[in-house]
Amino acid sequence: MMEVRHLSKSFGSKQVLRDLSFQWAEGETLCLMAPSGSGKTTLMRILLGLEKKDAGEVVGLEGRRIGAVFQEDRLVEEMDPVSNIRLVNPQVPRVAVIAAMARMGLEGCAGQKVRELSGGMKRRVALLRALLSDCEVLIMDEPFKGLDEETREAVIRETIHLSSGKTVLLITHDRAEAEQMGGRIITL
Amino acid sequence: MKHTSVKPWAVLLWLAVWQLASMAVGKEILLVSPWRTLTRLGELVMEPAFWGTVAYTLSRIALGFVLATLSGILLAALASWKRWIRDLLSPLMLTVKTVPVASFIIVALIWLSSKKLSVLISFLMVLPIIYTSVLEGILSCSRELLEMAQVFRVPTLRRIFRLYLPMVMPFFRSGCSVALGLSWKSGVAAEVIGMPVGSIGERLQQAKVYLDTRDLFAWTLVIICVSLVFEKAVLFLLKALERRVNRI
Repeated sequence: MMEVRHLSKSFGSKQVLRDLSFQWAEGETLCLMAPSGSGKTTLMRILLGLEKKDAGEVVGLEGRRIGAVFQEDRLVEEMDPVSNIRLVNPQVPRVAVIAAMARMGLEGCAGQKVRELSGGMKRRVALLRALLSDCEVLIMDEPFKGLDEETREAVIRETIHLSSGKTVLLITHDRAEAEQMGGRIITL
Repeated sequence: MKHTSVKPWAVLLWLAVWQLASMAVGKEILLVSPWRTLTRLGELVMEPAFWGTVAYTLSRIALGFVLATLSGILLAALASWKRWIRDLLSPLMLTVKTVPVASFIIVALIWLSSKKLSVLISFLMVLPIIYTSVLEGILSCSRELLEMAQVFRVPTLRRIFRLYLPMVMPFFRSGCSVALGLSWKSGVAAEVIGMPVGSIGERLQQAKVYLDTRDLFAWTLVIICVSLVFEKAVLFLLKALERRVNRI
């Protein structure tokens, strides 16, 4: 069981998170619905250990292998998609990466540099990097942002497939996305 | 790069200007002609001591350059790691950058034998340049990518080779490019003042003492050629290293 207890965070006089509490079970997919500007990214950064909290506790994430899809793609632009994906997990075979890329509609761009890809393609590479990493817990912040509707459906299907068995926290403002991902939905 | 490359026609034009100026002056002791410089260079190359003299200066300046590069990289890595190390090194690097090279040479002559002088002086001139450029490169590394690596627990070596090196390399390369020329200018200047036996600097000093302008120009040409070859060799090695790193 993972739990966030009475979490609070302020930046100067602006309180971003106030007494936030929720929990989610091992292997569960939890969708956290929140409008823009409600502290989603701050919450994610705290869960990933990139930001200090002012008050409260995060229980159950210590020492876990965590994978993340950030709001930004955070890819190495001069490297190709396969190298970007294998940067975080070189154990995954190149052919497996290329096959997964094809299922995400990224066939034929394995040899291109990331900087040559479109925004939607980069997003899918960033998503695949997290999905193919050797993580137990997957935390995703608006992972399907910038994808057109048709692509998004296929990508969500593949995300569900590749994240099976993992504990997933999806942070989004889009209810349709949350519903398509299945799992429990809570609102921030 | 193409905008700053040297065009052969421009070189020929300036050689012609030099030749005409030398003919106009009419006194070799004041301005020797390019042709006379080249013939003297040809004679020098045939002398048995020539290559030994070049090797003497080259080895010392190269040693100073390599030591400064290694130290600069190490200190920049430490300075990027801890803020107080950066603060501690900052006045030191600023001092080395701003103190005139002649002051260093004179102080160094009091402390050291003239044989080691050019090693120390090229070291001192190169160190702050490499330190500053590498530090700037490390500090400009994308924070977003480094956070990503931290979250995914990318091992340190892989982080260095796949994230830091590609981001720092352009800064390092441009630092090297500046430092290479400076190491030669300062190293030879140190030799001219210290006059270590068997160095290019000693030959320049002798040319001055005997008012042998042909020798002075010919040795200057040697310095230009050797420093250019040295610079090209180092930059070629850096490119090869970059290619190798990208393949890892």
